[in-house]
Amino acid sequence: MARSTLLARSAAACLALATLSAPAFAQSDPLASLSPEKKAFLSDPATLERFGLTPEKLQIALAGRPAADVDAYATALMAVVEDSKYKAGRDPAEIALNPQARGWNASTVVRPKMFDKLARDDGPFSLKRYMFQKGGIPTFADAPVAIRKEDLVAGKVEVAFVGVPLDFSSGWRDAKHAPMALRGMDGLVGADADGGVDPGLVLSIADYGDLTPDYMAPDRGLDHIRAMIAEMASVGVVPFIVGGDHTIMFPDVAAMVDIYGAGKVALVQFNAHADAELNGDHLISDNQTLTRLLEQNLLRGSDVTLVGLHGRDAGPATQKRLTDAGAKIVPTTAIQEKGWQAVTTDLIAGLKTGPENVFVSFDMSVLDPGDAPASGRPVPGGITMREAIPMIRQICAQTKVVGFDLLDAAPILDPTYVSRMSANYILHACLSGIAMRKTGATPVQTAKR
Amino acid sequence: MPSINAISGWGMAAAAAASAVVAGNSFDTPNPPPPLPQEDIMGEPKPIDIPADVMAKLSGIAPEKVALIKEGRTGRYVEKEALFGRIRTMPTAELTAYIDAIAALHAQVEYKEGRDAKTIPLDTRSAWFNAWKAKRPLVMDPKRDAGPMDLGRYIGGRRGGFATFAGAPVAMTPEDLKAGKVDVAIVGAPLDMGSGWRNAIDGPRAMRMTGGAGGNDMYAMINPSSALEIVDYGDIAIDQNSTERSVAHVREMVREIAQTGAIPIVIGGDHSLEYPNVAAAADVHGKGNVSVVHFDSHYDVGRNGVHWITHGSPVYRVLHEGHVRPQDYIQVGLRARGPDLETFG
Repeated sequence: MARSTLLARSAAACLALATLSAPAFAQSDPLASLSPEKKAFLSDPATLERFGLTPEKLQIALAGRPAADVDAYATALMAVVEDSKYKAGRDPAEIALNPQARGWNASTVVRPKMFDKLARDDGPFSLKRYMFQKGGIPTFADAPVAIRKEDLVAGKVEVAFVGVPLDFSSGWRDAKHAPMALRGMDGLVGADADGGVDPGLVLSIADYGDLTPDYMAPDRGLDHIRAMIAEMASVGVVPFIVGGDHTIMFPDVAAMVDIYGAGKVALVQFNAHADAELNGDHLISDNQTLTRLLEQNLLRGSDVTLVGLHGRDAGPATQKRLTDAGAKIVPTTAIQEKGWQAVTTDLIAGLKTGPENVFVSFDMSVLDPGDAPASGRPVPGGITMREAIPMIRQICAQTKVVGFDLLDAAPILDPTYVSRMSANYILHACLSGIAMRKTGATPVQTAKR
Repeated sequence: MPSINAISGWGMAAAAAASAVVAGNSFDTPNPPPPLPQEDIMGEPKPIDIPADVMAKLSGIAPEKVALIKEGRTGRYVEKEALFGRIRTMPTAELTAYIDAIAALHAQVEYKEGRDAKTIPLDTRSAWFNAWKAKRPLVMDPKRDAGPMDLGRYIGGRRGGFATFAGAPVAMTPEDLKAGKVDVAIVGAPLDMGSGWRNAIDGPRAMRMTGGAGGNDMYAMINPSSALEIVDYGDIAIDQNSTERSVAHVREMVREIAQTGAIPIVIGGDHSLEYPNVAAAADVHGKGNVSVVHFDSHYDVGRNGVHWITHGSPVYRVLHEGHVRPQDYIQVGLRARGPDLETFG
């Protein structure tokens, strides 16, 4: 009895203390004692946001602190801002490489035809032994193999798959294995039941193998990838690039611009992430790809459409910056609310007012993780395959798609077949669209079934 | 025990706390490191003997191009006997064009000053260039005494629901380690640049969330968690797009632990981390005063690649820079497709 009384008393005392001190917190401004410079620094909401603070949180952190402590707080945060800047002499401005290395360019120099051990005529060649073989040596879409530009030309190849196994996702990594894993999975062959075409029959398709990135640096080697993809496009091929992390969108789009001209290419980016971050310390990485494309004037903001944005990096400030630059944003919620068909019709109508040439970039994160757990940067609540397939098919059927990439598939994250098959069905949807555009086929009408 | 001010950075210590936000490259992990001596460069082509009849056919070819053949440098492009066969049978004009093509290809493959960038430039314009390794000012948290922070709520047990290495309390600064007389600091370094499957980024997190690192050892009948002061020192900042930049910072941080007398246990992260870890040990204990026992299926003495450090080359860097003497380096369990006879010498 006595004990509980004691507890009650001390509780009451605590309460009284709290009541006493609360008004004192509210009334005094802890920033009042600061110099004008420091006060301005801690009063800027953008600065506070960078530190995970709001004016309210700052008040709580500084309440009741002596003036010297508040000054120390401001000094320390200002030091973070100052020290985060590059400083010559303290911070290396570049990463040194070893020029002594033998065969420096060996992995990116294409073997000239005259150094082939055995002669063969130009053109895509099959790796199948049997006329009607399934399986065997895996290639994209079971397509014949092309090694050099001459093979693409001789075969009048219209669509060529090419892998770029760059593995620098800022989420989980394994995009390196995506080209191999997708070659080894079904779903890229045969007729499109809803599109009414068999793209493998209608189109001349080749597997152009993989391009070499630098596994130790995303920044290095992109020029080679850009040049190789531009070379594919230069002979009339629509490159289907299988990444690789989202960094690859940079050389992909840049290559299209190299061939079709600046201001002549529109980008449709299916991606949960905007990949438009600012203030990176590297000159390229997956989460700043769009920033760099815009900054280098390879794309105009008004020629960018972002579909399925819903990642944590797509905050209001980023969205505003992009829409201010002219970009169109089709969030996942819009697809849910209006339906894929209405959204796609609008989207295509928008594309018709811009450049004729369209590049579609499909980051696996745009899909719901239920349909594609093997995404390097998955975001729950994504679009479904039932939405994605017809959207992609229709965009590829009704606009002049000059290139397509599928990025940031990380097969190690999904021991089942689901992600790999989803990825291949997305690629097949665009192949079907291109085949429909070529043949004039129209989608199979539901009412007639 | 250090004063509260020293650990919290409040008040008079504000200036000191501010200056330590970015340690920079004060102890210079070399960028680039010293060049390789010629004898360490393996896999160089060996000179070949050119038969007299082939030499005769090459009489009209420029000497520097013939030298490429003699030095064995053409082997990358065409096998020796096949080359001889072509030289013997080709008409002179065609032969000249063929040898020119080999020379041109060789020039394209090898490094050329001015044409090939020997550095990867960074974006120094960025206002947040060092943000990846900027330390959180201690003043942003409530004042506390220096020392390992117990995350537990109850009298029994220490973990309180928060996953730490070995269920240990948390330390954030060298002052915490000193104040707690810490014997062992376990620290994560989630560098994710392995050349096989990547996901070492999840190594530290996964091991914090999995039991097994604390408790009694039935063979030795000792409980290290009781016998030693162990802390979880958090993770070291990593630039996931550059092993080179990451290892420089890892070295600073591992050294910071070792300088307090605590034994650093580093949870990677890929194997390139061996280099900054061992270099940091040598920074504290002296070059040549550290030996290494290295359990691995891989040899990891790779060298003379385009990149100065990868997870295949930490051992070379450790030996080449003199942190450890070769006779003090022991490898256990090698069995991967690694070195050939020449490399083992």
